[in-house]
Amino acid sequence: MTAGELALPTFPRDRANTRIFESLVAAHERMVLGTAYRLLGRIEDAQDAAQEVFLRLFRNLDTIEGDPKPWLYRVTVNICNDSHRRRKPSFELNRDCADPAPGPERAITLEERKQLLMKGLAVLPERERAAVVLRDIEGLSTAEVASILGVAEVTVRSHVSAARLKLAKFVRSRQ
Amino acid sequence: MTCPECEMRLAGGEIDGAVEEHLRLCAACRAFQQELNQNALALDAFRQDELPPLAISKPPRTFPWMSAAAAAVVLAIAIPAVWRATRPVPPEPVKATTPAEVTVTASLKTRPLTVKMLTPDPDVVIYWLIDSKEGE
Repeated sequence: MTAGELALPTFPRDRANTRIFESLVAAHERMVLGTAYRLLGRIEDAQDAAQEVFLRLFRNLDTIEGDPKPWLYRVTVNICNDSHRRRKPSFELNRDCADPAPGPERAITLEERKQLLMKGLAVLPERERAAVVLRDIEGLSTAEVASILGVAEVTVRSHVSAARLKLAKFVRSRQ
Repeated sequence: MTCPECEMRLAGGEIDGAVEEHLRLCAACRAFQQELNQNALALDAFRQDELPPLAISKPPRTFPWMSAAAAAVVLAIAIPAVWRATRPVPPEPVKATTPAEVTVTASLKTRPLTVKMLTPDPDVVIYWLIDSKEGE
């Protein structure tokens, strides 16, 4: 747990709950919104997902013990996966039309690369997307990612490798 | 080692002697490694992005007594209104009319006694059957 983050007491109640909730939102808002944004690719969708995450947090304040960060990541990933599944068909239909035709290789700026990576993230399978977002963007350890996603560490390593490989090929094909 | 094997191990961060040897000989895999490194920098840079603040400042507060009071007010208004709207409407009173003619069709000794009353409406005739006991 880093400075500025709060661990929940075991049995928060009533008014104390409100204060704790507000502190948790302040401490983790950026983390939840940022993760949701990388997973969904649209800030409006990410805001909706983050609202849902914090609503569930408020309802479950009494049941969460210790550091709420893994719980928040887990719920964020689940909500974003549900959201992504609901709008997947329309995205796949437009996928080929939206991407520019591959041209001769050239150096791309950091911003261009980030935009390509966002597009690449959107077409990854959801488990690979979640693994690479938590591991490479959020900077969590393999063990933390495994705990959040409820899979073995070796599975996380496999998903992350596969995702990095696909992202590299995706970016290279569009330079 | 083949290029796909090398790429997979590079992506997994597993760089050993065999991978280094392959990289020394393969320009395509060196370019791929460069691509992976630049992607890693870009992914890391996502964390520095500014995001709009989330519009959550306060959780939904619950005051049970306020909910109960609000429910009571709603019921106090709604119940009389619903009762007025749904109560059965009594039929319009029918104006009583005096029979135009009364005809006794049986003698007092005959049981039952039938009284036929003609009303102003030719389609309406009232029959009155009276079953009286002997001697009454």
